[in-house]
Amino acid sequence: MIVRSMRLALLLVLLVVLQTTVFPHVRIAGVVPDLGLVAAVAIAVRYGPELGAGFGFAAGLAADVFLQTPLGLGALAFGLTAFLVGVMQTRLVSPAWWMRPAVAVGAGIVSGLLFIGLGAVVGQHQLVAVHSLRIVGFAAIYDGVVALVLFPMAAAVAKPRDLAGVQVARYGAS
Amino acid sequence: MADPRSNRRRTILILLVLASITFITLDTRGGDKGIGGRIRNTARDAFAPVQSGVDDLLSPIGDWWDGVTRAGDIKDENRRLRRELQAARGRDHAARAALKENAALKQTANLPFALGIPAVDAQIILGSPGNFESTVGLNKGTDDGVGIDMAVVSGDGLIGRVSQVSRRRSTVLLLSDRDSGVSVRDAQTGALGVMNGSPDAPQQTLDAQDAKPVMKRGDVLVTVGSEAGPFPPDVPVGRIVSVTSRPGDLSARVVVALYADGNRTEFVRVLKFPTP
Repeated sequence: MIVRSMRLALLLVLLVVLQTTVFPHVRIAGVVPDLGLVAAVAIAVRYGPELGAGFGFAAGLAADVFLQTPLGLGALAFGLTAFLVGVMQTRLVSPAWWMRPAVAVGAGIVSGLLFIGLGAVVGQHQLVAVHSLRIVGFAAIYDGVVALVLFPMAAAVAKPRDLAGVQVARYGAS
Repeated sequence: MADPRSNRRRTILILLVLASITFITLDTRGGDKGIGGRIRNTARDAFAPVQSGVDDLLSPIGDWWDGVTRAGDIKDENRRLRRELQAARGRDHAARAALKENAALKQTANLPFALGIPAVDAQIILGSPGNFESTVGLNKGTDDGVGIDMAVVSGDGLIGRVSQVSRRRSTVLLLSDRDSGVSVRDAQTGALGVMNGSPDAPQQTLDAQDAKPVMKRGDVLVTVGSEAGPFPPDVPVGRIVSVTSRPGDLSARVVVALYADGNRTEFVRVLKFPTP
């Protein structure tokens, strides 16, 4: 349990470093992907909404540290999105490969809209603009692209092991 | 009997929402000096050495990517600049002579503007990690004398103002950010306006406040400046690309090409204004 938490913490640190140093240089159509969100969604799909929401909250909070918007806004958007995806996705036992990017794109749109909507509620009125919808759309597509790499990576890092070292059955599968 | 898994999920959801609302409230109420601000500054300082190391390592890759993705823009810009250069050569000889004299006088300092204002030289080391803001990160913080709301300039002109600062890092809100606003003056006609940021940098728009005197295409915009605000007077901001107004309108829509683009600048100067 502790080892798994440490692995997730290291993944979080790695994603923050990539998000703040590498991806600002590799913007496509002026946007960057939300690495923390994609990883949280991957974990939610694989291991359930509880762990996904927890990782999403932590990843969103870490992202908030480097943004102008209030601390906690990204945490709420990422956490809620991962929770929702986890609740819906645990019904799928063996999704096709293309489901990963598709889920990430959907999650990117939901998270972006939550970020804008919740931001407007807490006084971030500059977020409410047509331009923001364009950003949400492009960023969601970028999320889908990085999901091809990040989904298996995050799922592997979050993989629990029982005492015998045997991989625990997938969440929700019987 | 209630499903334990449902109960657990509900508890997690409630905790998530409550924790987020707590953080948002603490941050918005406390500002930079509150608990939220302290958490933010501590975390930024903790990540600073790692970010610097990774950024140094990967900046050549970033430069290559920048060249790949902006090749079309660069060609367009090159064509546009050639046209503008030709046009500029043919006009305002007298005015340019006066400007040349003025520039020669001001070149005794490193910057041709903001003379006599104490400043901190800094390097832009980070771009914006998010999608909804136009910011850059500097390698200097409060330890070096950088403070909130200080104006940031490059050799070309105004870039923005410091919006967040920790001990070793600071964040500059660029002029193109939606939250950004600066009062400007037409250096030729004296007309005033307020330029609010829009994310389509480097072209910005502003509403000219006065119908007369008017702003004209090609005119230079400089900061109005005041002791109460972050920007000193007469710092170059941009050049007017177009002015459109309909009969009867009290204000005109002015499109401005910024002189300085924070996303393509490496070294900047943080102005300690008003001078202590």
